Amino acid sequence: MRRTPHDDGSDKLMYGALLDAVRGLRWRARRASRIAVPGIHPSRVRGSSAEFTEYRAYRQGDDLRRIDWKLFARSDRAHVRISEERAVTPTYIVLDASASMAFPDGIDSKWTLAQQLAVALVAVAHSSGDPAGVMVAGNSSATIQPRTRRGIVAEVIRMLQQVKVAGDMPVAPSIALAARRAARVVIVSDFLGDLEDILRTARELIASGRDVYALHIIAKEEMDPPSTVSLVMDPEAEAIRRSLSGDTRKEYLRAFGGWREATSARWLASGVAYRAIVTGQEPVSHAVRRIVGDEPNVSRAV
Amino acid sequence: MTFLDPEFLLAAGAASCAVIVLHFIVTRRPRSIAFPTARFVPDAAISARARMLQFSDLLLLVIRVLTIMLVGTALARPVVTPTREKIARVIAADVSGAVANVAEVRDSVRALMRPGDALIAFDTSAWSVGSADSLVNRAGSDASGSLSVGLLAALRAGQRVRNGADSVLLVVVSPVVGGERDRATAAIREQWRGRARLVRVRPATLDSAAFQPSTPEFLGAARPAFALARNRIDTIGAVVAGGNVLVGRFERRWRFTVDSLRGARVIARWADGDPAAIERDSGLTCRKSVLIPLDSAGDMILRPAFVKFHESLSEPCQHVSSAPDTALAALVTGSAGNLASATDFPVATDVTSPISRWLIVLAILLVILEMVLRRAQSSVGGER
Repeated sequence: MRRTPHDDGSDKLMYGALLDAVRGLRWRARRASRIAVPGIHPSRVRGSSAEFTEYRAYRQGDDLRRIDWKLFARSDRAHVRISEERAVTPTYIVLDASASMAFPDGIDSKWTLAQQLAVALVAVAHSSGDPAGVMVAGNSSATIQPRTRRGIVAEVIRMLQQVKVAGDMPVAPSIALAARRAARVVIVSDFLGDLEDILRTARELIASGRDVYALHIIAKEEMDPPSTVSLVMDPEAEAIRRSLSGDTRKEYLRAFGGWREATSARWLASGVAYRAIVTGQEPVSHAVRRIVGDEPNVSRAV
Repeated sequence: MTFLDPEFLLAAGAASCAVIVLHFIVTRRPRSIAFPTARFVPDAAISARARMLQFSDLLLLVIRVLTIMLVGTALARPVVTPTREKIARVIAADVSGAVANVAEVRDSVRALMRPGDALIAFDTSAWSVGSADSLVNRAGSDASGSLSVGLLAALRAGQRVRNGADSVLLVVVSPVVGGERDRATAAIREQWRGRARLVRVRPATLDSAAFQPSTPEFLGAARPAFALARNRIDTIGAVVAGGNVLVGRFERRWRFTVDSLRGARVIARWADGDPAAIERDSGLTCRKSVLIPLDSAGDMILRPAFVKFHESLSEPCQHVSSAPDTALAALVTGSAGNLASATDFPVATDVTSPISRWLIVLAILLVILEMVLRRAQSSVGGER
């Protein structure tokens, strides 16, 4: 019987079907990169490659070898050739591993989906020639810096399998840390923690020219709580203990729906590529296609 | 219906009470579920319904209690008690070679047997029989039977019928010949504390020729009766029969098995003590088997020692009488006292309860159902 990513979380082979499904995908950068390392994405750096862009008048300090001598002979003015460069986009995926991500129990949890998304996105970035890495928020030992070396996907799988999902560690500091080494930062979270700080950090990253993706993980049970549930408790704040009866359930659905809409609008307004992904609603590979198929400067809420 | 081990039923009842008490203690507080988006639920007064009133929890409780009670009942081994009769019969039917015609035994049993009675057949061993007709199918032994074996089996059968009657009557259908008695017969008969009824059938006719002096067949090319080939062939210098020693060089190719020696009489031994010739008496016939090879080229058979040795081997078999034994019949019927009371027999411990296995199967199904229900209940979040 063929194993699927939903079978078990203890074996890297279980990701085989998912990795097969995302093979061949290319993850285009939404913005021109400022990195000088050659790659496949558009770069802001102008260089001397064969892809000619424009002439610029010679300035003191320019390399004499870049002067177009034929043009100099015709015009008696020195110009240098400017060509468009291609660069890599180092990608860092920041995962929220707070207690709320462990909901619901079992293999359909938000954390399982987050793990699968991280592995698939690392695989896509790696196949695009970009360095890719993963960082678990608040867990310094669970960090793999962006690399292009072979085996990075397997390394990420092994690392994620050892992560314990617990606590209420903030995500924003990890995002800021990740941005130091990456041109593209992907935040995978349910945004039930330090949302304000995350948004502020993301805006700063956008302003500094980085690509930022916000993947909002939502459990389907959160969108439609089972009727058998009568008393609910926040796993990250046990003081929050509420009764989920008929009337409060309607109120909950309305409040949670409003919060999702507002969160989506705020992310989109920040210029972040925002995606809401509901557990069990679609195959993980479909979600990955939606994420990496994002056109530059266009963001859509789902 | 009676229970062979009712203490298990009591234990199951106690366990069920404990489960019920624990259930109501645990479910007094409503179950809270870890729910990350709990903050979006309005902060109203908590008015969750106590789980002890929820149908799904009550269903779980019922299933758990039912499972425990089913397992307890299965371990208690329920047996369906037949309608209690005044007298139940244990019929011991002799189907050994001592009986002239087993059909006669079958007809006698058929006339005696009633529903709720136990029927056993015996020759040198005993077994339970469902109906009188089966007696003919199982007959075929040439050996005379053993009354001790039949009486022992009757005692065990008495345990099985004790629940269905006040008194138990032992009926022995047998020719009761002398050969069916052994040293234990009287002691075993005393274990049955009541009188018995003897239904005599015609005894088989004795093959008297088998017990006359006869010439034993010395070892030839064929395998002797009751013997197996030795793993290692050796030679020995002498063989003894009835105090007569025959000296020579004998090659030993065969040996008697342990089974063949059981119930046989050794009539000659090798110098090292191993049996060299035996006779087996089945009550009505006798058969001799000799493992001694004779060298036709030598002069051994001309020696006086061989003549005496041969006479010893040719002596008649020690046969057992096949005439009806009046003393044995009196021993079987016993004194003219009361019938054995049902309480004289211990409760049978080896009775199988066919209901038990079905109860276990039902309990397993309930356990699976309980797991499915519990999984469905706890599929959202962890219980706190």
